[in-house]
Amino acid sequence: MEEIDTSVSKKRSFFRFWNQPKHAAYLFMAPSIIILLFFMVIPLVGTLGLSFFDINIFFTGTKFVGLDNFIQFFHDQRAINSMWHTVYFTILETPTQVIVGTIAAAALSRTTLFNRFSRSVFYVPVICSLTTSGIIFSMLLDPNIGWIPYVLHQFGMSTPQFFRDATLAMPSIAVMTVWKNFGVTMTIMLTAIQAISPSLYESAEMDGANKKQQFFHVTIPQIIPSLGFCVMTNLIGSMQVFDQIYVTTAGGPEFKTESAVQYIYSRGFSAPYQLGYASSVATILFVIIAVLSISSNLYMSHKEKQMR
Amino acid sequence: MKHGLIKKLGVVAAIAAAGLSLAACGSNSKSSSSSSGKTTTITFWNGFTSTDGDVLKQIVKDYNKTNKDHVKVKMDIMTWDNFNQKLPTAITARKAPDFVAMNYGDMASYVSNGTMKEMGDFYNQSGVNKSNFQTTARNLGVINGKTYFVPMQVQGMYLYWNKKLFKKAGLNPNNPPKTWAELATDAKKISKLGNNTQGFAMPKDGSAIMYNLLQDNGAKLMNSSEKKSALNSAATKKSFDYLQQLINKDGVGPKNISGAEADNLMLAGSLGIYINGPWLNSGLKKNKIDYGINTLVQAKQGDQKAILDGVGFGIPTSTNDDKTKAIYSFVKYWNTTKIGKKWSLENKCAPYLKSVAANKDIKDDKLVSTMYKQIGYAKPYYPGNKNMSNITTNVINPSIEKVLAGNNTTSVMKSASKQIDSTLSGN
Repeated sequence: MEEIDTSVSKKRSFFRFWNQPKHAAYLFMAPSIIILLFFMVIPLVGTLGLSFFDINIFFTGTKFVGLDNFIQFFHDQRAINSMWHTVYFTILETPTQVIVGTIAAAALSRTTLFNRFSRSVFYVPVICSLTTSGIIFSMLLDPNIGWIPYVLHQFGMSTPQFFRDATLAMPSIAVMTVWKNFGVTMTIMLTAIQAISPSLYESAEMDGANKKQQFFHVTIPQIIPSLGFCVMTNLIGSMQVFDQIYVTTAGGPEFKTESAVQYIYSRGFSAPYQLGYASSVATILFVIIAVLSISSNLYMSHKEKQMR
Repeated sequence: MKHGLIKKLGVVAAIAAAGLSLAACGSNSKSSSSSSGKTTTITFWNGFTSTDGDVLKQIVKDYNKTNKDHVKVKMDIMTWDNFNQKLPTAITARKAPDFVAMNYGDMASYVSNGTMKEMGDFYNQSGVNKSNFQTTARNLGVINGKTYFVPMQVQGMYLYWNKKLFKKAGLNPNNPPKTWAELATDAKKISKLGNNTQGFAMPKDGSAIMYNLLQDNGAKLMNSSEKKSALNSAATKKSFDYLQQLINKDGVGPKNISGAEADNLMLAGSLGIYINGPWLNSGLKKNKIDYGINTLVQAKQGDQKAILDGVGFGIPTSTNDDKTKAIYSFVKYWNTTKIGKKWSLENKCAPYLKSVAANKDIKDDKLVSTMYKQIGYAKPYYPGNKNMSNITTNVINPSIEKVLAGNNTTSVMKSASKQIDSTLSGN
């Protein structure tokens, strides 16, 4: 009888413990923490660990090499070029996407039937996968069978080799990515713009501000936090560009569109399967992204304070 | 202990890094094995995604129905790209299929990492006639003196030409070019037809064509010990110059085109001359293109040089002995005259079994017998060299792209030679 009482009281205290909000919170967070742990933290630590080893994908002939892989990176012209291509893509893509998304959001901020329809249309590419978009653009821009080169040809213009020309390939990929993703930026900015108090515009109007002045002096300062969020997420996304390049140019012509992630992938997951070296390049990329993200975050916070 | 920890850490990192994308491709490999009398299920990965895959499915289905060894083959067909991405991670994660069909060029790196079983004892099985296999075909699977792969298919690169375009350009549709020089002359005439018609296509990833051209001109990738590059030579320069003149300067074909895109041009009937493997036949027939196929062009008339390539059966080291026995049963079935004949005739590829080659139906098939002629003198290209797939992907294909784009051929050659040296020295 006494044993049963003890067990019931243990059960009660167990439930009472987890019923307290400060403890229950951990239960609610547990699924996310477990996912983060297994899919982010462990692979991150694993990648960092592997970067100090000469190790292939089959884990044969493993040798500790210290910082050799990192030193090799600075002598590997293809690896350095891939970093530059990534930065070039980011410079092309991130500002364009944020500007296009913000302009679209400002233009479609009033809730009319036409605007609601346009927002849905602009959001459609977001639903498509990057691979699908890549295939669509490859076919549209193909100099032999593509519709766009055909139309240009009909107007007597020369047929551009969009994905095959070393100068045009990266801008073409950036345009495709903006087309695919600007719907997300537009939606975030739209929410921010719609949250601005109409009284601010009324005051500005009373002070004689035109639409352009209202946009730059009322809208922009009010949406700085959302703008900062969009810049940062786009920056991180752009620095990790892979799918669209893999599908459209596979890094060509002459590795001119090879991104850092693609280089990491080709080093680690195709011959010569240098997983250790690939991990060291991944670590370097991680550090670059972290530095860029933190700097842009600090800059945006500073700007936000200034505007207020 | 330390090594074990690294290994575990590595497995988690590698699988997690590659895993999400690869996992989407699906996992194979629940196979059940049991003692004799009960059915042994063996999983089989390969990359025959075209019409050849349909023939393969039929053969596997027939085998599963008729074999008396109680073996069931469960097959997973994926693109070769997918196959090459999935297999290394599957082997590391101990999720490898029981056996695979793999391109010969990729085999050596798996063997050098100790991930493939020796298969030499296959030829000692009762009912297997070792002497029925052509020696060159059998030797494709021999690495460092040991047999790791048994032939499934042998192939080479052949000359395809569009007879309709030959007629239009005023050429004899029944007289294809026999030398690289004739190919250039004919291709120039075809490219002048206009309307987006191309004379010849050299894909930027066309290493197989490049290796044949280099070999025909007497150029070598490596020295005889395969420890140093031998690419820096007048013969290589001559080969690079030939391609650059043809594509970049004379403009007989697109400058920056992938193999898949070049295939599409040929299948669309807008390419005059092309060099490719036997798998192009089915698409050309389906698209009703009036085409011919011949042995590969040579440096000069009368030469007989070509590279022998193919696909072989291999068994990862994780496969147990019971399953190995079951796999041998299927491989034995595959290497019967009946199946060899079916595979050759339906996929239009050359046979490697002497009994199949001697068959009347094979001899009467014009396409297959033409291809078989080439298989007779073709030789493997640096067989068993574990660096070949790395050199092809990271040195030769990028060099082709540079040559076609008009870069200085001497500096492309020198830079490629340096890279080969660096690859061979393991840096």
